[in-house]
This record gives sequence, C-alpha cells and structure tokens, in this order.
Amino acid sequence: MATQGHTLKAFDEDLDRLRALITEMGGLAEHAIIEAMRCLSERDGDGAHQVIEDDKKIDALEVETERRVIQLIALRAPMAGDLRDVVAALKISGVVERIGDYAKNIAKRVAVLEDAGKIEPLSLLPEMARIATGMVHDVLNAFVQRDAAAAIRVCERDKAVDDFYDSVFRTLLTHMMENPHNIGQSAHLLFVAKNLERVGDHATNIAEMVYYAATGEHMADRVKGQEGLAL
Amino acid sequence: MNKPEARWTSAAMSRRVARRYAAERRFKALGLLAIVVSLAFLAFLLVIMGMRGIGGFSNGFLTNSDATDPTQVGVWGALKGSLLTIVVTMALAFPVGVLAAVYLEEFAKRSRFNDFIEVSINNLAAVPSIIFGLLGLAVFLNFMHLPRSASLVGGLTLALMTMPVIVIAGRNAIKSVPPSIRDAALGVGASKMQVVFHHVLPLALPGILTGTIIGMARALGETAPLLMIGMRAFIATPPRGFTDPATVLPVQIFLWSDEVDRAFVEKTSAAIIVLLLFMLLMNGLAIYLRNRFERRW
Amino acid sequence: MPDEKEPMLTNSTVPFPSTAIAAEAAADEVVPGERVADAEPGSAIVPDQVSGPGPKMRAEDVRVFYGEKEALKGVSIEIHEDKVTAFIGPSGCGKSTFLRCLNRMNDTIAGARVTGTITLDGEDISSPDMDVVQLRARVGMVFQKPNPFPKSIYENVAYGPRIHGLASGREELDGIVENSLRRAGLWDEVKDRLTESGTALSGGQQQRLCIARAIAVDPEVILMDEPCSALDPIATAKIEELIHELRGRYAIAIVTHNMQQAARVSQRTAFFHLGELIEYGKTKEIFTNPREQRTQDYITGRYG
Repeated sequence: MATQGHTLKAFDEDLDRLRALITEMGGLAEHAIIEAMRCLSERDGDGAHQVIEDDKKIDALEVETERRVIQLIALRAPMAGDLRDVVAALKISGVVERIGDYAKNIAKRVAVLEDAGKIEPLSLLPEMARIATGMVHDVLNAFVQRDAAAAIRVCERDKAVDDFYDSVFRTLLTHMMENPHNIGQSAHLLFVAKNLERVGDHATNIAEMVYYAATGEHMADRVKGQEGLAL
Repeated sequence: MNKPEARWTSAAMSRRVARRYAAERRFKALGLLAIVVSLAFLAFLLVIMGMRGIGGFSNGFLTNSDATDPTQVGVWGALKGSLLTIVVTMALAFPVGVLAAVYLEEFAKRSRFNDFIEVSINNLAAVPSIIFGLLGLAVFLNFMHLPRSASLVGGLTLALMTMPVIVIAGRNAIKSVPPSIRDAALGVGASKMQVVFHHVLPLALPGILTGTIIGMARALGETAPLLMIGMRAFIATPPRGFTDPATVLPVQIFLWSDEVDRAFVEKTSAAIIVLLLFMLLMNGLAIYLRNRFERRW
Repeated sequence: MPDEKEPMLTNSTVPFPSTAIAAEAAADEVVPGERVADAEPGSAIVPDQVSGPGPKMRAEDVRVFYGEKEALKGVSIEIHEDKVTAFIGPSGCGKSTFLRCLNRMNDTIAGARVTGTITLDGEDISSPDMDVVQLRARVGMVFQKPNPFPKSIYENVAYGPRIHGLASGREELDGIVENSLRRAGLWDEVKDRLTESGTALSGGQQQRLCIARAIAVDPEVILMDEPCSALDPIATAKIEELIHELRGRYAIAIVTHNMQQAARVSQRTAFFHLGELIEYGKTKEIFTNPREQRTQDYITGRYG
C-alpha cells in the first residue's frame, strides 16, 4: 500500500485513470455475462443481440488500456510497485476482454436455444454465473485496492465454480443419453457451462497478477484451485 | 490581450523607462569625469615636469653621478643605487613573502594564534614607512653595525616593508585557486607538498606577481625610510657593490630640490622624469612577466 | 543495461527446464563468496561466505561528524570487485560523504571526524601503516564537475604516474598515457593534440580525460561522484558505456541522483536517507521489489 501520492500529481492521475479503465471494463464484462445468462433463461433474442453489440465497447477499452499503459511507461518510467501495477493492468485488460468474449459467445447461443423446450440443467447455470462474476468483481476490486489477501480469497472460490461445472457436466451427459433428440441443445449448454468455468479460471489468473503486483512475489501453487476433472 | 499590452506602453511606464536610462547616462558621465580629473592631475604633473626638465637632459645627465656643479650632475649613481636596492628588496621579500603566504594558507591550522598572525600582517602593510626606517636604523645600523648608507641596508629595510604586501596578495591568490583543482590532485594521490607546488602555486602566480608589482612600485618611490638609514649622503661615484654607500633616485630628487642653486631646478625635474620612466619600465616588466604566467582554468 | 541474464524461473517449484539455462543462471546469479541474506531492515550487509574472495572494500559502522553534526550514522556496506555499486538517495543524505570516506578525502575537510572501520583488501585504510597518498592512488576518484588540470592533455594523464614513479622512462610514460586514454575512450579524439590544454575539450571529453587520469595510476577501485550530472545525454551515455567496460578491471562505486542511471549502470544499489543506509541489494531487486517502504517511496517518486 502506498503511503503517499507521487510528488508528480499527474502520475497519480494517470494511475487512477488506468485503474478506472480496468474497473469500467470489468463492470461491462460482468454485466455482459449476467445479461447473457438472463437472455438464455428467458429466451430473449433481442437482449442477446444487444450483448453481442456491446462487446465492441469492451474491445475498445482494451485497446485504450494498452495505449495508456505504453504511454505511462514511456513518460513516467514507473518503478517497483508502480511498474508491477502497470504491467498487471495491461495483462488484466487482456483477460477481461476474453471474459467479455465468453459473454458474447453465450449470447450467440441464445438464438439457437430459443425454440427449445425447458431443459433441466439450465437452472444450475445462473448460479454458476453469479459466483463466477462475483469472483471477477472481487478480484478487480482487489486490484484497485492492491489487496493481496482478497486476491487469495478469490482463488479459493474457484473450487465452487469447478464443482458446479462437474455437476452440470454429469447432469447434461445423463440428459443427453436420455434425450438423444436434444443433444444439440445440450451440447450448447455444455459449452455455456465450460465458458462460465473458464471465467472462473480467468478470475484466478487475474488474482495471481494482483498478488504479484501487490507483493512482488508469486502466489504459491497450493492456493490455486484444482483443474476441472473433465477437460 | 489588450490589458497586458497597455501596461507596457502606458505613459507612466515610458516615463519610468526614460528615467532609468537617464540615470544610467548620468552615472556614466560622472564616471568619465572622475577618470578625467584623476588623469588631469597626472597629465599636469607630466607636462610641468616635462617643460621644466627637458632642458636638463644635457650631456652626461644619464651617465654622471652627483656633483656640486649643477652642469655636471647626473642620475646614474642614484639609478644604480635604486637598482641595487630593489634587487636586495625583491631577493628577500619575494621568497619570504610567498613562502609565508603558502604556509599560512595551506599548512597552518586554524587557531587563535594564526588569526593573530594574519591580523598582524595586515596591520604591518599599513604601517607608515618611516617607522620601518626607524626599525632599520635601530636594528641594521646600531645593532648589527652594517655599513651606513649601503644599498644592502636600504634593501633590507624596504624588504621588511614590502613583505606584508606580498604575503597578503599571495594569500588571496592562493585562496582563489578553486578547490576542484586541489581535489583533483589529491584524488590522483598527490601529497600536500605536490599539490601546493605543482598545482596551487603555478595558478596563484599571476596574483602573487601582481602583489609584487604593487610592493615594488611602492618601494621604488620610498624616500622617508631611506633617509632615516642615511642614504642621503653626497655620493659622487656610483656604488660598485651592495655594501658601498649609495643613494636612490627619490632621495636624490629630494636632495637636489633642497639645493639653493637655481640650476638644480631643471635637473630635479629631469630626474623626476627619469624616475617616472624607470618606474614605468619596471612595472611594464613585471606586468609582462605576470601575463606570461597567466593560465586560464 | 545490467548484463546479468535472468534465469527463466526464479522461485518456482518447477526445476530449470534445461541444464544450459541452469548453468547460465548459476554463473550469473551466484557470485562466489556472496549470498544475499534476508537482512533485517536497516542492517543491510550482504555477508560473504567463508569460501571465495572477500569484498574489495568493506565499511563497518562508519560515522562522520562535521563538528557536532552527525552527517553519516553507522553505515556498513561492501564494495565488490567487478561490480558497479550505486549509491542513491535524496540530496544531503550522506552518499557523497560516504564515498569520500573510501579514499579519505574527508581528511582534507577541517572539522570532519570519521569513526568506524574501512578496509581495502582487508587492510584498515586509516591505520598508520597505510599511506594516504598510496591509498588515493589505489582508490581513484572522478568528481562531479570535470576538473582537468590546466595543463596539456598529455600532462594531465602523465602527472599521476610521474609522481608515483610508475614509469621508468619517457617511452613507458607515453605508453601509459596512450593506454589510459584508449581505455577511457578518448584516444582517437585527442591523439593528434596531446599538447593542447585539457580545459579546451568539451564537457564530456573533459570528464573522460579525468577518468583517464584516474586510470593512469592503475587503481583498484574507482569512485565516481555524480560523474554525469554536468553532461548532456549523449556524453552521459558514452560515460555509462565506459563504466560498463571498466567494470571488469576495477571495482566501481558511483554516487548518482539519477535513478535511471543507477538502474542502467550498476549491479548493486545502496539507498541512503538522512545519513543512514536504508537498503542495499541487487539493483534489479531494488528497482522491481524493494524491501523497505522508504526505498519504494523514493524510487517511485513519492518521496517528499
């Protein structure tokens, strides 16, 4: 935690703006995931279309972040903690952009599932999405606060997401075996579940970046969650 | 955009600026006046002496010595006496003064005693020259029984007088050598002596020589102390060595000016011209030497 | 740019992927006789092992008093051969004062008192057996403002060897002068005008001349007190490159208030603050992950 601001106030402003960008990106990505899941549950085709459109905003923010980071490094010559922060911001923006892409991917499947009947496993997915987006929200907060302990806590929640995924996988497999004519829909749901599981993994990746930026050391292996059983 | 411009072009500002330049012009004029007035006195002296003395440069004026007959007098004896005296003065005052300056600036530790020495030397430089004459009389003549009226004694006395001037000039010159040069020499592993003699003294030399010039000019023109030690005798033949009785040019002028015979007036003026030329020559030589040793750092 | 290459993985539990990388890491990272300890904050000695050569110079609990004022408070540090050690810190923190202790230049300041022990190759430099003149030949110094002697270029470089009797004849002296000027990267620029005054050179050339002068007496350690602060960026870069080349022959200690320069040029960095040594360690660690908050504040520009 920094004790005081930089002697050059403009440097502080640059760093604050960078963090604001990341926060904004994260907010957009979280909203995209939640919204895509809602459209999936309610079969809202127009909403899904909106999510797909809105992904462009996230991409634009990533480009902006990269531009800001390069400028900051060239003009401010950040050192030590500042340098780690700035490099972390760059990496995190890439990861958040990918999370946004997952939301877009989910939204694209809404059109396909629109005319399907109610599918049992569908009910588990919103909860999974809530946990995953909660992780993203908390880890980005940890980044802004430079809170290494919070980052570790986020990692611990990935296990819950992975367990959810295992459960959905088994359920869908069973459903597919019982309802072969519905395999297409089920396969899509499988992919949706996989996307949400990946969101959780990305959140732990961000947590590692946050931990390193805050402490200068790498998170130990035991803290990370287990990989999913099914690959 | 209007407001700032107006400030610089307003009438009040123009008046202020005009006053500033007027003050500068007044000051320059005053300065010029001061120089002109000082030079006027010098010019006046030169012109008067020239007018009065030009006739005195008859045959043999420059080669004869003192004589009772005004037509036979010459300045050579006094000139030689001055030369011998100044040689003795410089031979003593310069090394002693420079070494004293070096010791006081470089080697002596800061203490009350050394501060006392510094104050004393500064005071010595201001002591009236006739006191040195008394000193010379008491020490060199009465105590050491050196030959009276010899250029050796005159030189010794004047050396006492000139040394403080050289010490002061030397100390200031040494103080003005930048410490970076000293640091550089020390950094290479030079000892204190090497720093002083290889680096500091060569750089201080111009300043020391300036002080020497000032001291020498003063010594050349001294009359009172030399009168006290007896360099006022009637010397008909020029001195051959340092222990022969001699007189110096200023004293010679003084003696001639006392003479009753009107013909001596011309000779006195001529001698004054010779003295001035002699001083110009010596000073010129010293300045030439100083410029040769000048180094820019 | 420090030329120590990074091993690919540092404290990961996965072993090095190949023996080649491992060998490289071993050669560059671990200097025989050196182990970076987890020092308590403030103590900051990098202790040496029992085996291997010791440090070139070592200071223990050095304090400097100007009259009553304590300008340097108990500094303990090591200067290693073939490494550049940078001293950084804000103005008045004592880094120049400490540098000047290493060749006893503080002796020339009236009223300065130095306590503590400083050793060169194990010998105490303030003992009566150590001749201060010889010490200053073994531990050379380059100053902040270039200060060549007001003599010819040749004389500038030849002065040191001459007074120490390092050359037995004119030819040998010529050789020393040429060698020193070559090593200082100045020979090609001045070889045709050795008799010209040293003060007629440009600022950067003058500073390289001063470096050549320091090298000419064949020192073991070179101390540099903000050598580039009076120079333009190009001259600065040339001198930094020169320092990099000199590193193999001499132990170099450099005081700088330019942190970028310390990062570029040194392998070890010591951070001073208000007369104390706050942190000392490998340059790349100091600038990416310093241990002390004060160091972090200074490096990131939060100081003051």
